[in-house]
Amino acid sequence: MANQSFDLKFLCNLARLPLPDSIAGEQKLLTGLQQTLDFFQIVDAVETANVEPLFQPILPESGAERIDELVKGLDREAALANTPETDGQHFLVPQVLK
Amino acid sequence: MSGDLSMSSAVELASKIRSGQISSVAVVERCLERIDSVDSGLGAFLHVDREGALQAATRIDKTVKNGNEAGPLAGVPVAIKDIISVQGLPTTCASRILEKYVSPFDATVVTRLKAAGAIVIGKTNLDEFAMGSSTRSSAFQLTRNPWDTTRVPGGSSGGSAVAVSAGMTPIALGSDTGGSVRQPAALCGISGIKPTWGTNSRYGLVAYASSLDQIGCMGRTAVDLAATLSIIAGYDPLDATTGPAVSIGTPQTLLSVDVAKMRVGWIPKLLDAAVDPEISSAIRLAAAMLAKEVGQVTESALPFADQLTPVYYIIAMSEASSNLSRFDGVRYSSRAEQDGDGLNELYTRTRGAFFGEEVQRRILLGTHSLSAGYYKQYYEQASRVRRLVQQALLQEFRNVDVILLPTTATPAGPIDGEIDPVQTYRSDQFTVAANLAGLPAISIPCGFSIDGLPIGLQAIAAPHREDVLLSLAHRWQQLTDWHDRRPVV
Repeated sequence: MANQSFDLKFLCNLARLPLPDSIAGEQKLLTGLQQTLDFFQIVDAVETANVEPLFQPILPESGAERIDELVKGLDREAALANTPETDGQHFLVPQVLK
Repeated sequence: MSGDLSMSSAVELASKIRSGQISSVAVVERCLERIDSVDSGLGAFLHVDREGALQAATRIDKTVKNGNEAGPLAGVPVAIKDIISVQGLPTTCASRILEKYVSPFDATVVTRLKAAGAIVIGKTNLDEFAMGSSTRSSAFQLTRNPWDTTRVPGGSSGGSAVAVSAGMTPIALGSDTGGSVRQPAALCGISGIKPTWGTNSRYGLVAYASSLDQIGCMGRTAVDLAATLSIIAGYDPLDATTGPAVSIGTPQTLLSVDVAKMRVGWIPKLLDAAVDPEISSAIRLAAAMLAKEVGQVTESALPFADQLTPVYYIIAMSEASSNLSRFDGVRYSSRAEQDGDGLNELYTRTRGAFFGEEVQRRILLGTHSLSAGYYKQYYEQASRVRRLVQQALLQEFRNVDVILLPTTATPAGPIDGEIDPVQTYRSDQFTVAANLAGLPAISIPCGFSIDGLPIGLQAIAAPHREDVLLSLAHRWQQLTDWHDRRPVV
């Protein structure tokens, strides 16, 4: 795991986050990310060849799913109340198709 | 009940309100007065719902006056960490990206507290999106430890811990992804429990790391934790991680496991290294005291101790990078001014402008861990080690009913100075195991440092054995008075 070189531009694009606005800012971010990856390195040493990953600690019981029937959710007005831009019917975003 | 309503227990207050000896309005007014007098110096609350709390208290008093059942927490104020939704109140997650967000619904735990008569008094400060252990990464304000205001309260549920510790509310809710209920409880001298993953519905909790997140209760006594947990726990069709067959029990059953038959494990080796000597002494003393009360005390182990925090952070950051993708400037609250055009530009500018530095760091690291080429090395490998950790801990619980640990390696640290992220991550070394394995864990006060800072004793139990933890904590609080100490603020 050690000494990976980050493609910061690629990573920021994946995460939908902006690149730092200076070379010094980029360097500081890269150093911090690398220090954390170094901290993660010890996990690599554990032998896990025949171990299944554990993605959730306790499996939901059968029957935990709710009954498949229509229930009332948020009404439109409540769902749109927190959006920065709406026409009262929809979430509005910048034009996608030109 | 002590003469000071603001320092009374939730259970005692509810009993007196139900019997008409005191009014809920008087209790709420006393808590509001306390908030007015101390919170400007402590910063526990981000939002106080003065009007709503007094209206709800008036309704409870009318219910009592009319001779109707007002609920097990009738008229008792509760503070809610500002990452849990309360209808009509802000839920900011201490982040600029949700600065103007007002919840259109109640979280299930809040619905249940209200139905039990509890009164939401306000929303408390936290590390931004619960990502931290000091509450310093809140975008809005610092929260100070009431035992020493130059120290942090811990985090991420620091505001809830301070609100309880300083007598602004008898009980509070927090969320615990890697120790965020237990660690601030320890550093502020109160009690806090994180139940088994799947016990409390997370519907209405803003997700940080879904396979680790669990809502927990904070209070001054095990009795109050049992009363609160018994109300909020249980099956919720809106969160499929809760199961219909799991029943937490009543407050009475949660406190009635026979302590004299308990097998308690502790880990003296762990105390020899990297633990503050005062904390080490307090834990040794606690183990010696409990040895006279329980069936047996034996040496136990914390498996994969060196790997726990990195495993935890790989998983937590990976899940966070996915969960926080919903904050995009379209549906919730804040949107950055447009400079260019297109959706990606909107997402990127909004997230860059309104997420704090630590949140962005964790999203980037989580994105890296999940990305093609690195997934197997990071997220999958950490998840495999997670299974080994869980298997080893469940094996330990064949031999013991409880494992005792310090909650933290040091007392509360200074509130000023640079934050070293990796050092901060390492400080979660004793709390993350319970989250990785989905186990219940509690922190209770067990002493003070020479500087007068609280020390927490942590106990972990097998899945769904919150009753073991609360019974042991209750017995401990009958034997000691650490939980009765109050900070001077």
